[in-house]
Amino acid sequence: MFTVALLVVTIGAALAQSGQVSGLVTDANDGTPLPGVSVSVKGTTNGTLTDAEGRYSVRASSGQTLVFSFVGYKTLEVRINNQIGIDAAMESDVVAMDEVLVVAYGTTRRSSYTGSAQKVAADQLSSSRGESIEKTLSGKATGVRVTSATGDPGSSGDIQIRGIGSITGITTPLYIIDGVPIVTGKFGNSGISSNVLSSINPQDIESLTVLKDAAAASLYGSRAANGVVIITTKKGREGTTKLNFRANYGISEIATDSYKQMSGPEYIEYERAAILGYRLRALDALVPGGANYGNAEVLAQAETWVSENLADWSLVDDPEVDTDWWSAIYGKGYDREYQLSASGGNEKARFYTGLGYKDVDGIVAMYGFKRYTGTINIESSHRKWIDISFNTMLSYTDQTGRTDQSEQSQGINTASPLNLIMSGNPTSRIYNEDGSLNLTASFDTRVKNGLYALLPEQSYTNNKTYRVISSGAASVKFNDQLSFKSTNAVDFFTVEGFRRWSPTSIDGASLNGLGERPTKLTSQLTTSNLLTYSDTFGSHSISAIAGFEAQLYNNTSIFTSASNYSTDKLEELSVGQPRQAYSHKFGRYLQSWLANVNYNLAEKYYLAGSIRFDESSQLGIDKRGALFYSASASWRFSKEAFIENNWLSDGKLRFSYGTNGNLPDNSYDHFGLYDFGGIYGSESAIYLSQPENKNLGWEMSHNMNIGTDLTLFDRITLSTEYFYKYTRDLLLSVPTSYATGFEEALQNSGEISNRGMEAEVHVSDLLRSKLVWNIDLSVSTLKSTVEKLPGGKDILLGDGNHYIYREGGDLYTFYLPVWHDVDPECGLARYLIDPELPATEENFTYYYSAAKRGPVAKAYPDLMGGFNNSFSIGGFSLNVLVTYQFGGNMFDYPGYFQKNHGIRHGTWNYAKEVADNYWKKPGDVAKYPRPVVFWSARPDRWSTMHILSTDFIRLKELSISYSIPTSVTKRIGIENLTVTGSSNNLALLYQAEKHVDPEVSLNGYRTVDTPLARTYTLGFNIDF
Amino acid sequence: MVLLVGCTDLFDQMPSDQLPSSSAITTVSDLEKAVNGVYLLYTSRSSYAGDFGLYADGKGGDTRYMGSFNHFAPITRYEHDATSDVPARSYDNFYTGLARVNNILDVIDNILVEPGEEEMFSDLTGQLFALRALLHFDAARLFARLPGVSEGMNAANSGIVLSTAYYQPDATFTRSTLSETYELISEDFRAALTSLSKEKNYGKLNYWAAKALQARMYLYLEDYSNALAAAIEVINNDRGYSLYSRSEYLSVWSKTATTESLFEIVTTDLVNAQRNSIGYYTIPDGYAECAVTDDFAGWLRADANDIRSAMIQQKSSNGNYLAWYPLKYTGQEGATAPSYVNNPKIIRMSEVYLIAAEARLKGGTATGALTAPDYYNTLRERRISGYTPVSEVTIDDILSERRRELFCENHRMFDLVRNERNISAPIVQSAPLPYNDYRIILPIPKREIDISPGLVQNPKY
Repeated sequence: MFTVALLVVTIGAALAQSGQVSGLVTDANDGTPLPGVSVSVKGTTNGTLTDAEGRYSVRASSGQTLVFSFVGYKTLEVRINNQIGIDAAMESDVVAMDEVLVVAYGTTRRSSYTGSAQKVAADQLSSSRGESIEKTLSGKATGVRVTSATGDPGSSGDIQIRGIGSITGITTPLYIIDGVPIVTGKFGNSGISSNVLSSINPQDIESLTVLKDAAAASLYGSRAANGVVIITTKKGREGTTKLNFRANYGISEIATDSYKQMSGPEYIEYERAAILGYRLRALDALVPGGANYGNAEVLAQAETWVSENLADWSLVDDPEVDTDWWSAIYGKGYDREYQLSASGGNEKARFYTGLGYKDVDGIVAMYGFKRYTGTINIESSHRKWIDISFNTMLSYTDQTGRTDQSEQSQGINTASPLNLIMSGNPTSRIYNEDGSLNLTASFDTRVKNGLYALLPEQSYTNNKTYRVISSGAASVKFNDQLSFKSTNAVDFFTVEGFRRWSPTSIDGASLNGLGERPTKLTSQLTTSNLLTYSDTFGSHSISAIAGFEAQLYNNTSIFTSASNYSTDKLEELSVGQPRQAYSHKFGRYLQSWLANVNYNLAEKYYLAGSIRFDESSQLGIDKRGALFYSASASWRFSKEAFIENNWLSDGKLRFSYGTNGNLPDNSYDHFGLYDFGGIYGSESAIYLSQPENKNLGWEMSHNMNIGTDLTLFDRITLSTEYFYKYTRDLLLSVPTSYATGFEEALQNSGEISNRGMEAEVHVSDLLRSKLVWNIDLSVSTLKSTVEKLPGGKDILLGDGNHYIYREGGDLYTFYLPVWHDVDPECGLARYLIDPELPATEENFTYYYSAAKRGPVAKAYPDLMGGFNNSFSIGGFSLNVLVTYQFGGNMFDYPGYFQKNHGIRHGTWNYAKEVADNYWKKPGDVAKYPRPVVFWSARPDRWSTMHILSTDFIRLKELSISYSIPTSVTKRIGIENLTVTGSSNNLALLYQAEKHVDPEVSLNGYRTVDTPLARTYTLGFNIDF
Repeated sequence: MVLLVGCTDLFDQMPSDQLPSSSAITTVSDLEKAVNGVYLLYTSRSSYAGDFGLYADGKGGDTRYMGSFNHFAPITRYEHDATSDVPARSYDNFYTGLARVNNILDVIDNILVEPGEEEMFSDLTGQLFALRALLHFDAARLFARLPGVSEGMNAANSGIVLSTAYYQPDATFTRSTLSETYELISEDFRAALTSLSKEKNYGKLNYWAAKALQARMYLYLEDYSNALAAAIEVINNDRGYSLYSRSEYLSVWSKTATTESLFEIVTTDLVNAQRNSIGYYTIPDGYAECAVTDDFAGWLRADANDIRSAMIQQKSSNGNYLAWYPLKYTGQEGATAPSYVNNPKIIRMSEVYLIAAEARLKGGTATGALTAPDYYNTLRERRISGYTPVSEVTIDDILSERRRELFCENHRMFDLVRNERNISAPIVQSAPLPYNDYRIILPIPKREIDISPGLVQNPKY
């Protein structure tokens, strides 16, 4: 690696006999400032620690020697020769293995950290083409699961840290940007899922830290139960101003063959079979036991009837035509991204500015996402006693699409891309001979033609988000030990929606056009005020924090709409007649007191403890406040004389225990409330809309974590952890009898647990040759269990009640009848009457309604992780990320429509996979039954036929880049020029179920939305 | 920002558009809005504006589904088990309505009645009791056997859960007997009739509407004299409620507050059951899940002199779903979304005449009563050109007349079952469905039994 380089910068004038010496301490490897470095004057008791920005100031005189020491670094001694400023660059003593972690209210070295946290650096994020931060994390942080309900550009992704934190409460983590908690969640209007996180440009991010256990997260108390993601944005560094320009150009297409439909000839054959099934049923010859079942004469009679009546029944338009609606609707998407940034500064002030633009066109026409961002970060240290910083992020995003199914309510939007594909008649031409669209090409007369229905002038929904996150922080140093920091921030955003249903569109026809303008204004003011103390006494080192925080959240939403448009040429609301107008305001207040102590002895034994008292307006008046705490310890056994050896570079054992909290989703859940928004006829109508719960309190999780960190041969680190998280007083929507007037009531009831193992292996520069090979492997397991439910009673959830929560069972367990097989004799689906009894003749039924439900499978995977290999040699580098998961299942809701076995004759085409695999004659062993038009036994209804395994191994990211040699680029005034070719979702190396994308929502619900895209990107990165 | 520090009143966050129960209903005007909150439920999918508006027609064998969107069709197929949507949605709707009534009754004594408001207060109180009677009556029609065909009015758990108070979220429930169920309904109708106004009140229950519904209840209870007496009182009303004439018959369906309409639910462009409305179910350009069967169409059209033969029309949607569709819900005049906006008529004068005829035929007596043929002829004279009055009627005649007059108004299956007639529903099974088949009534939703372990399921579910 590097030769030991001591870099000492001498500044300005001579030092008087005895005075203040100050400077900046950085990592020699990458130049990041190092906080917490002990700076002492040799032979005296004078000493201090560097602050959060890596700066120090100590009383010393010329001729004395400064000693810089820090865990994981080689101790450095610098003799003072009359300077007043001494900057030091410290060399790591554990090669590339120890990293600076940004943790709750500060930074630390991994080696001295007692909690469980994982850092993901910018270069690891940038290989992902996801528009928002959470999507870029996929496969890069152990125990963190990232999913997208839809592949639509700008749609929300979900992440879960260490399992499922709550049943009906919030399950998303807390996000902190540069010390400021930001607003997250879905703020899309008009049924489009959009996460406000997509308003933050991942290009402005320096690193992410995921805090996983109580020791790491308890200091954030409230809402830390689901983990914390700490985002550090890019900052300027001392030195000449650096300019950076990046450009990316991408093409995307659907990543899997999800939703393929039968071809014309396949449809014709299947339709005939379905009509025959219908006739057999009418003749009572379909089901074994029927009067004419197995009667060859009746069968022949039915065949004749079909031949004679087919014309009346068939929906075949032109048997010669074979139209592939799938390919017509799912096309190519394109995206462009540009980012220009400048950073630099001196010892007095530093800055980072960035300007970004991203434009994504989805794979379905009209779907798109645009983002414009501007970031300015300024830090000033003009006075010795005060440091000031200002960070501001401005963004504007523009997302267009149509109502999606992210809420997982039943039904498919007629104007959704999937419905346009399914309702396309495969025997109808898309275009007439004159080139115009054939407007009778759909089974559904409202759709007319999928391409016609997709025209933006038909209908679209647009959300524009304008956001500013601005914070200012001042850090005042009273002396070398004591300082005070106040951080104050505003997070303000407006989401301006617009929905257009033209008078001729599918949804707008009945209203003669509809326009909606929903607007949401959200602001969050936060203040954080911390007193920090740190000191060392011989081999004892102690630091402590005490602070006060508060957070005021306000949201106003305004909705206006108009219908009955006087023309379809214009879309503004004033072109129609007023329809609806309403507004709501929501406010929340959270106030917290916190304290934290860290102690270490000889950098060998570490102890830490924290407490935090939170009070929230969202809870019942007597239950507002709660105390959270954590205690943790670690032992760096590799420092013990009896263990020290050559191969063990570092070794640590950690333990933590503590509590975290979770709040309800809404502001006023504890009140019993009358709703005043109803209308009956032309009069107002009011009704009790929410039951009162004065005792609504915090959901509390208790977390235990045991971990070891080993560094071997200076190049391999191995971390293993076991976690056990037990959550009590769940914020649970407990089902209530309809006779109470409510379906459910929010209560603190029930208990769940999450436990698992995590292991990470990092190999850094394995070969120690010109070819640099780094490996990152992560594996995590999860077991999420429902421990206690109110009254011990099962709870059914989901629109369709297809999830069951049962004591001792898994979270996200599907509750459905068991589809056993297709009877080879009669070709009908067989269900188990009682799913708990064995699959015997007596336990079979052909009738869905006779089959009982049972807990049949769980959604979440047992095992998941990522495997990343990167190689570099010369200017070339190759990065390959593979992600995988095993043991999970999905509920295939679109399959309910696509595999309907003739029930939906005349509404939709059928899944292509059925064409090759349905029962045709006695003896056939087929996956899908013989089709029957309109059969009331309903073999299409929800059963285990719709439960599919989500096991997969995916080539998630692949990138190859080349940096043109500096000797060449210097000639044209460029520091560095790198060209990168990359692909996301390139291939599924293994998938248990073909024809579906295995990456579905966290709860295993596959929506009817457009699945993930595969992207190919060409990128340029220029430094000058 | 320091402003945030230590401001305890920042914890007092209150909703901007909702009020805690204690302060929501304090005046008679508030009371009126709260009663509207009960009527509002009738505009939703599972009530008269949607599924329940056609329920007994779907199950009565006279309708069929052409579209296979599976919204109304499961009812026609008798496809409902304890975990399926139809029973759950219906239970939800009717019991939520009852809870709203009781939540209001719970605070009604705190209302300050200003001088001059006494009559309005009395009327609104009457509406609450009438609503509670109707909600229980409809829930009983769905979830319990009809009185005449029950195993016994006093059999344990033969009735439904009775909702008579404000309940805490953790409340559990058990079933009453059928006789307790109908006693409560009778009592609530009686209480309502003592305080309801006799004035017409569009979209609301008044004295005449409650009286007519009471007549219907007595008919179901097989208390024919009381049924007859109540029907006669309504027929003799002094507020202009009268039978439609033959000439206006085809046009009344798109109008509101017509002469026959004793109680109808107000639907508007804004508040309706949308694609799950009676209108959208009964048009080929909608879900087309409630057309009439060809048999029914042939039967209805047989007498061209009868104006009701023109109440169905053969239609398709661009060649799809070709069938005979009812013309009762083709859209209200002036509606922007005609397929969604149709006021369901919960009770109208024709039914009252037919109640009188049936009650009289079955032996009911009352002061001022005419003969069964009188009521029968009065109605038919207003429907058939060149009608010759009959001097005798049979129960079959009356059932046929109900089938003809009241089709697609939620009567057919109930009428057949009351009269112990089997149901011809070939979509379900080729042999006629016995009137006491277990599927005639809905299962209690499983979730309700999970919550209230003492709640007994209907047989065979």
